Order: sequence, then C-alpha cells, then structure tokens
Amino acid sequence: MRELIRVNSLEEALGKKGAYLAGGTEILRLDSPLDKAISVIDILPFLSKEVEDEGDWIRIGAGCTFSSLLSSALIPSFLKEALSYMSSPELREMATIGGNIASFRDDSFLIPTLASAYARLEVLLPGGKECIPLSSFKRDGGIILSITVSKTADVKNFRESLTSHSHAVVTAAFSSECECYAVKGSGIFFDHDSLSFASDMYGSAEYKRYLSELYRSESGRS
Amino acid sequence: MEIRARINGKNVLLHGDAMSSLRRALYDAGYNSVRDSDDGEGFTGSDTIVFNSRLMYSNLIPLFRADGAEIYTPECLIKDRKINDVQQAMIDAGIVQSAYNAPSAALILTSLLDRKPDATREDVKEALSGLFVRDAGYEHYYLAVRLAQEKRKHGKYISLIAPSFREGLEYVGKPTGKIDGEALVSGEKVFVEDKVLSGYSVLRVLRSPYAHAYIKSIDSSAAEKLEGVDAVITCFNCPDVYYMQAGQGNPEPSPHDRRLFNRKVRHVGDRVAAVVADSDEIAEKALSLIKVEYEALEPVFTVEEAMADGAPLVHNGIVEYRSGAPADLDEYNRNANPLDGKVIYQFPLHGDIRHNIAAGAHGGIGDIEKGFSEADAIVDSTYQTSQVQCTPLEPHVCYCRLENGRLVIHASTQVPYHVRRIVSWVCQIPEHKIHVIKERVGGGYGSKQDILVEDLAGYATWITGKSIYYRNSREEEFWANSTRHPMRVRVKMGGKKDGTITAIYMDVRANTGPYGNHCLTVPMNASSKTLPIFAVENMYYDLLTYYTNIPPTGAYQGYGAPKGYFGIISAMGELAMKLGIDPLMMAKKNIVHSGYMLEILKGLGEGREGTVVPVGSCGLEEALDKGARMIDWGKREISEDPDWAIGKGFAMIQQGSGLPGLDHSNAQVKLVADGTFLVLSGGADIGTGLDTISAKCCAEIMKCPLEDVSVVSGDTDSCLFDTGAYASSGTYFSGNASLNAAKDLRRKVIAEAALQMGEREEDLELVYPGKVVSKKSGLELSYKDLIHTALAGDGRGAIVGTGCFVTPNFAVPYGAHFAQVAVNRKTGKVKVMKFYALQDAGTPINPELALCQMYGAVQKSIGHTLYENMVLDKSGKCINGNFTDYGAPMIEEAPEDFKAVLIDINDQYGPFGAKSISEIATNGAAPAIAMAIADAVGVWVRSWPITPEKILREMGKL
Repeated sequence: MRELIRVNSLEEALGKKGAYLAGGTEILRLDSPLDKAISVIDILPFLSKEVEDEGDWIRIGAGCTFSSLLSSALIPSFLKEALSYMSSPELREMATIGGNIASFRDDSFLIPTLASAYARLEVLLPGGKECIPLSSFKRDGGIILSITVSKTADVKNFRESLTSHSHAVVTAAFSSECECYAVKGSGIFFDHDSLSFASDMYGSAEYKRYLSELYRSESGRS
Repeated sequence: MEIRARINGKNVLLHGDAMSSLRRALYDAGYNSVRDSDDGEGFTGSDTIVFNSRLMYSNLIPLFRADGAEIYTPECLIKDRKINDVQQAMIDAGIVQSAYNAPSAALILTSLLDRKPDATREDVKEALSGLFVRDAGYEHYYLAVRLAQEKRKHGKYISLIAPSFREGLEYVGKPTGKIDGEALVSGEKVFVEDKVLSGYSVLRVLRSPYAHAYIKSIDSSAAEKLEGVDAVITCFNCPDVYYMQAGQGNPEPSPHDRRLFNRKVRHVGDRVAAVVADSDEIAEKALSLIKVEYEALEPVFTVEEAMADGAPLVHNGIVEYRSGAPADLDEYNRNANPLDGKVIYQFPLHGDIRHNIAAGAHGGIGDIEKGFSEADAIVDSTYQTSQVQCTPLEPHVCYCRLENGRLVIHASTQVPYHVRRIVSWVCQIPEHKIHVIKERVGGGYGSKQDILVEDLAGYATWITGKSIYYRNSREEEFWANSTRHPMRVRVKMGGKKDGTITAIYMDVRANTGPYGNHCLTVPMNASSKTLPIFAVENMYYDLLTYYTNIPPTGAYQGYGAPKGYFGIISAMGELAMKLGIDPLMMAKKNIVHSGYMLEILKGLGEGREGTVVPVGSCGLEEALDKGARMIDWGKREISEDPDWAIGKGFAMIQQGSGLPGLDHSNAQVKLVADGTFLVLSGGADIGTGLDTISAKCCAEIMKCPLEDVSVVSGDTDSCLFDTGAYASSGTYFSGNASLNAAKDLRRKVIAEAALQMGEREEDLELVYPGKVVSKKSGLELSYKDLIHTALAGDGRGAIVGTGCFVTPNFAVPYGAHFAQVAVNRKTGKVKVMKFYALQDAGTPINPELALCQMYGAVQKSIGHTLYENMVLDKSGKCINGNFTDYGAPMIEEAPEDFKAVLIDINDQYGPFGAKSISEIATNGAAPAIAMAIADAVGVWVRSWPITPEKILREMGKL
C-alpha cells in the first residue's frame, strides 16, 4: 500500500519525496507508471480550480478537472475537443489539467493542443514560481500551478486511436506558429524535425510516421 | 484510518488504509453493489458512485479523500425494498442479463434523468461512455431510458419493447422481464464474492515467467515456514491425476493432458505453485520466498512454428488412450519424456503430439476436384483470426469451504456438474462429497465453461480444511484464462458465372495453446457450423489443431463458428467479386432450405460419426431478403465527405441448439404447500434468462401466474444433472427438460385431482390462474386445496414432476447479418454505420432478452473484427492484459444504426418452438464487415483485427 504524505502547502510539498497526487486518474490507476513503493503527496487541496479570462488569453488553474473545463464558457472549442478525447465522463470528473500535463504521456490528450495554443505554465520550483513555455516543461519539473493559453489561436487537432478508449497512436495539433506531436512509444515532440517513431503493439513506426505526415499535410503545413 | 462520510443519506464510518480504494471500503461496509471489474483501471464502471454530486470511479478514489464526502451508491435507488423506475425499465428493456455492473448503470442513468429529464440519445451515449457492457450491448439502454421517460410523462410505456410471439400463450414469446431481474439490478448479494464469510483464507498462484520450461526444482521451505501459510502446492506434492479443464461431456473430446501442477510449464502464466495463507500480504510474501529452478526451452507460438520440421514439442510425454488405442502405441511412446507428463485421449482424436498435433479430422461429400474443374472461377485465400478474450466483468472466482465433511464450492460457472466431476477427480473423492452451488454469473461467454479455478481452490480447501476465496486478477484473466483459438482458415471455393458454387474446400489449422481444451471441437465448429449452410454438392475439410505456448485457449461464445464464417463468407464474397456477380445472389442460390438432407454432417460429429438429418425449420432466406431490403442492398451510398467511402456486406449464418446425442438435461417441478411452484433445473442460467424460460414453461403448462413460480438452478445437491450452459444448449435442452417436468407435473396433478374430485382424468383440465376444473361437472379444485389434501396425514404425498431431455433432433438457428461501413481513405479508420442482425430463433421465449443477446453478441463480434487482440511479446507474455490496451469496444464503437430482428419461425423440436439465440449472433460481424470494407475501398483484409493500419497497407498506402 502506498504511503500518503499530507502537507499544509505546496511549498511544503516541494520538500517532500514522493509523487504529487492531484486527480488520481494517472498514478492510482492500474498500470500506473509509478512504482508502488513511492509515496504520494496530496496537493489537490492547494491547486487552483479557477479559470480566468485575461483578454486574448485564459489562465487555467492546474486543479481544474476535464469536466469543469468542458462546461466552462471560457474554454475555446479547440481545447474542448482535446479534453473530450478522454472518453469516460467518470474519469473526466477526476482528472486535472495539471496532472495530465505533468504525467507527460506519449499519448497525451492535451499537450499537443496546449502547446499549439502557445501554452505557458506557471510552475512552483524550490527557488520560487517560474513561468515557462510548455515545450520547456519536463516531467518532475516542479508543481504546475496554472496554464495560460491563447483563446484566439487557430488550432487544428488530430488524433488516431483504435477505439474511443484506446491510447492514441498519434496525437497532433497545429497552429500558425506551432506544432506538437505525441507519438505512442516515442514521446512528445514540439517540432517536426525531431520526430521519431518506434514500432509497438499500437502500430508500426511506418504507420505512425504516415499519420504524422498526413496530419501535417492536412493542417496545411506542408 | 477511519473516515466519516455521508452515504446514501446516512452518516457512516469507513475503515481502511488512507490510500486504499474507497470501493473496497464501501464493499466491506455492505455496499456490495459497488463492484470491481478492472482492478482499478478506470474502465468498466462497475465501481461507479456519486461522489460529492459527481459520478466517479470509486476504485480510483483513495479512502482519505472520502472524509466528509457525500456519497451515493446504487443501493440508494431502492426505497422500501422497491427498485426505482429506471431499474424497472432496465429489466423491462431486457438489458439486465449477467448484470455485474447493472446497478452502476442504473445509478448512472438515474443520475442522468435527474439532471436531464428529457435526455436524448446523445445524452445517454455520453452518460454510458464510461461503462463497459459485454453481455447485452448498448442498444436497449437507449430504450430503457426512453421507457423510464415515457412512464414519468405518460404513466405508461409507449415504445414497443420487443415483438410478441404465439398469441395463444400467456408468457412464452412475450417480454415479461427476467424473474431474477430485480435482484440483479438492485445489487443483491447474488455473486460468489457476496457469499464469502469472514475468516477465509486466500489462495495465490505463482505463475511461470517462461513460455516453455521444465521445472527442475522448487524450494518452498521458506514459504512454508512463514507464519500464516497453511499450504504450498507444487508439481511435487499435487495429486498425480491427469485431467482437462474444459467442461465438456464425459468422456471428453479433449485430451487429459495436465495435472494441477506440471513438471513442465507451457505458457507464461502457467501454474508453478500455489499458496494458501491467512491474508493477501502473507501469500504475496510466501510467493516471493519460493525458489524455482527452471530449464528454459524454446517455445513455439504460431501454427506455422508448431508444424515446422524439428519444432520444439509442447507435449512429449506418454500417450495413453482410454479406448481405441492404436496398435503401435508402445513404439510411439518409446522416446517419450516422463517430465512432460501424459496425454490421455478418451478416444482417438487423430492427434500426434510428436508433431505438436493435438487433434485432427477430415471429411466431406461429393468429388471436390470435379467440383473445382467445373468452376468458371476459383478463389483460394487464407484468413487468420486472432486470440481474443471473453473479458467477463466478473473474473473467474470461487469460494470453497468444508461443511459436514463435504466440499462446498460456490462457483461462477456454466457447468456445475462438470465442476463437481472434475474436482472429484482432482481431489480423488466421490462426487457425493462435493456440493457445487452455481451463484449468479457475472459474465461467462464460454470462458466459464472451463474449470479454471475451481480445481485448484477445491483441492486446496480439501487438503487444508480452510475456507478459501480465490479470484483472478484482470491480468491473470489474460494470462491464464481461456480464449478464442487463433485459427488459420484456408478456403478454396469454385463457382460458375450463374452463381452456382461448385466446390468448397476448408483447411483449418487451429492453435490450441498449451493444453488441449476443446482442441477438436472448437476448430471442428469452423466447418461443422459453416459448411451445412451451403447446398453444395462437393465439400471437403481438413482440420489440424496444434499445441503451442501461447496463453490457454478454450470456449468462447460462437466456439469455432465465427472463425469459419470469417473465412467461408469472405471467400464467397471474393469469388462473387471475381465472377462479377452479386454476392447476395450467389448466397441465395446456394443456401439450404427446409428438408435439404445434410449429408455433410456425417463427417462432422464431435469426434464420432455424425448423423445425417434434414434441415428443419429454417428462416434463412427470409432473413436474407428482409435484411437486404432494410439496408437497401445494391444501392451505392455516397458520403458527403470525399475522404470517406461507404460499403455494404452481409453474412448468412447458423449455429446449433446444444449437442443432440450428447447433451442431457433434467429438471423437476414441485407443487409446494400453498399451491405455488418451485422449479429445480439442472440448467445453468448465466444471465441469459434460462431460469425465466424454466419459469415460463411451468407457468404455461400449469396455467398459473408467472409470479407463482420460483426457480432454483445449477445447484448440484438440489437439482438433477445437466450437462451445462454451452453450445447454445440452454433453451433447447434445459428448457425442454423444464417443459417435460411441467408436463409430468400436470399429469400427476390431474391424476391426484381425479382422485380428490371423484372425476375421470380425461374430464379434467387446468385453468388459469391455478386450478383444476371438470369439463363435465364444472367442479373446481384449486392447486392450494389439492396439495393441502395430498400432503395431509392421510394424503398420497408430494407431487413432483420430473423431466429429462435428450434428443437426436437438431433445432438449428439461422440468420443473416448486414453491415454498412464507412472507411476513411486517408486514415483507414472504419465506422460501422449500420448493422442489422436478423435471426430465426424459433419462438423467442424471452424476446426482449433475445434481442439484447443479439446486440451483445454482435458488439463482441465487432470487437473481434476491428479492435480486440491479445498481443504477446517475444517471450510469450501477454503485454496488453488490460481493457484499454486490449481494445475492448465501448458504446462509441457500437453501430450508429443498430437493429436486431427476430424472424418468426416455429421449430418442431424446441420448447414451444424455440431455438438458441446468442452464439449464432457472434458469427456474422467479421465476414459482413470485411465484405463491406472491400465494397467500400476495394481491398480484402484477411486477418483479425481489421485495423486501420492493415487497411492502409492493403490499399498500398504503407
């Protein structure tokens, strides 16, 4: 059984050894990538669950769940499209946007879309808060406090998964200045040139490359 | 820790570790409708609750987060022991079948209607998108919501639930709801896990990391010394009893090729040792202390590898025959390796384990070469099916205990009497010492025809005296459960330009995996359930089944037929395309009709000579015609989006209704002391409504209200023998046994009434609702008064009707499935736009349940066709042993326009004219969808699953 570490603040959480627990749909699920011996630190009570309108931008608290964002009038349609990739409404009630980014999965629901919407993250680090582009974020790179994204970005989303609940083979999003790919088995790529592909049970490298190129072409970038 | 929560309106203390799941705490606190089907994967929704006004999966909520929470479980829907209107609508719609997560579904839908009283079809789809339904499909969930809405708005249902059949009958052929529907939808304690008493011991299994290896030694001394460990069982101390786990008629057409534990492990996940301990933690620790020395061997995984010259031998031990041993057996065994154990055939299955062949068969009619020589065109294609999993929501589970010196097994099984027999063999005790209680079964689909856990748990209880609860993890379900045999089906078919098929040849190569469960009969079905649908003069088949080191195979709904149909109908479609003719015309030109003598059956018995019979009742042509009209066959559909191409396909299908000449069912009907009835059926209701069929048979014959009938079934102490619920036997065999028992009771009641009333038997008749009436004098005698007198001090005793059913006669269900798909030319994505399943089930005794079984079976079949696949790594380990990676289809994957249609045919032999319904419905999707894809984009994909990548590859885009 995992050990639970309770803290009184996010700053205190930073000083503890363990994995941060937000919605729980990632690290508490069967086949969690997290070793069972690793303790979890409950940070959900301290995460903002607010969405703020900042003109052409919106600031989303890291503790916002997928379902709360889907019902928010402030969230642009391209982001709602990506949020709805998580098929189960029960999971959407639990999963947080911060947790989803922090897990940095190679079948990420949100990262390609957020990156293409010029997302910047406010991250709490031992040295204090920092605002960084999403593309600079690394797993275990502090506690995500909020995500700021453009409301007006012209984002086109693409995703291929075998079933509605299967992990995506390739997820990609494109805007006028950004592109981002989550490729199953390979990772997340913030530019086309760095893309790499590996064959696995989700599909061959050739298939994944085909989809990535198709999406790029469909987005009008090539 | 202890937390306080408000549950269903009451303050409740819950206990457990802070990070333990809320679901576990809720279940332990008595909220047993909150079940676990996925070990916390967040997929199936069996654990859904309302948590602070939001629907969530309780497996993913750590207990500490529930402190101060407002929680509602499905138990909240029950008021004054009455289910709510949504639950009632679910029963009435026919979707409460195996029902393991039916209470969760009720909670979700009730919550939806609370939020949106006028919820639309899209709203329902969205609400159910996190609920995995394997048994009944999703289509009637929409109906259930509509019924509940209509009841609230109009005070009654407006929508038709299901068509009715047989005007003269009160209950048979009418949608009445299941007699156990309320118990199931309300979450009563009806499953095995609910029967477990505190103080039980746990059983855990150490499984092989190797696909193929000898066990050189096992040192379990440290584990045995651990406090709280009662026993460690291995190949070195288990009984030297060979058996097989397939629950088939005795003697089985499968070899006895395993013991509880073997010196040789034959698949990743094979049993190496078992620990009986006081707790999971102790058992885990004990498993970690067991030291095993293996001698790894080269494995074989595919038919091609197994049949190669010099291939490693999966079984190379002593071969024995209970009957029919060949003369050269001693020579055959000369170089056998004793470490491999034995393979004991009950009778010859034409196996040759020295070439990895577990079983073989061949036969046919006519002159196959002459047939091909007369053809204008010939196709010769090979179709490959994959290894797929039944994925019942309730995994394999059992609870064993001793009582009064007897072994009591609470089982989730399709075959209680085979469980009793096989456990008696393993424990080496007589069958009267074993009492098997079949609890409600939370999904079987064939996998619970196999005795996969009861053998070990029963033995462990017998030797330790401990009450033992065993439950497979979901991963173990993938590693060590039965699955569909992967098959390579080569079909050569010749035809003339006028559509006449001149010859069919099938070469079936099946992969039985490590043990020979169903190794003859499943592959045999690929031919025996397909060739007899063709009125073709020249047909021949060859069948060989190979041992390999993949995870075990066994029975799965449809048995071998879905694989055979994928090959044979696809080949017919390819042949029609080659000849430039309409495949539907070709089908209609070559199908059987009532009265056609099925000579092909002679060579298609289950290991013995089959019986040639004529085609009986047959709704095949009507199904084809009606389906063609529904889908507008022949009309080319054009998508508004040029990226999508639309195509249509179909398949004609058949199955059987049990195994005439082999299956055997018994039942009793008792007139109890107040004039009501108790049916004791040997049949195993696995959620399909078999108990309701038994109750209806009784009510119809005894002219009494259905509410006056209760059914106890599948209890080996209370009920008489039945071969079990498999091979689509339930309605035909067990139903007929109940019908015969009711008829016997009717005869005895009239005889007793004649004596009590002073009338002649021939002047008496039974009259609804429950009395004997003299046609001559008008005198009446209620059943209550009749039995009261019979049981009085000077009475003639209890009145019990007994019925047995065996038969040489076939009641074959037929059908036609039509599909319309859209294929994305760029991505290869397939959408099933329309699926129409039309089936002749004879008289559907429970029509609403029959429709839902069709929807459920088709949905499973769509899964196998397009998504599902067990993936093994190079070592033979299944690497996608969870629902998400495996590709289980959800509501999003259901066809957009989905219709099940019952063709009205009255069968000569079935109870009230009934035939089987559910297995046949797994046969059509693969060939119909494959044909539709070919129609859309011009390429045939000949292997399961038909993924977008395979389509792109066939289209030359990869």
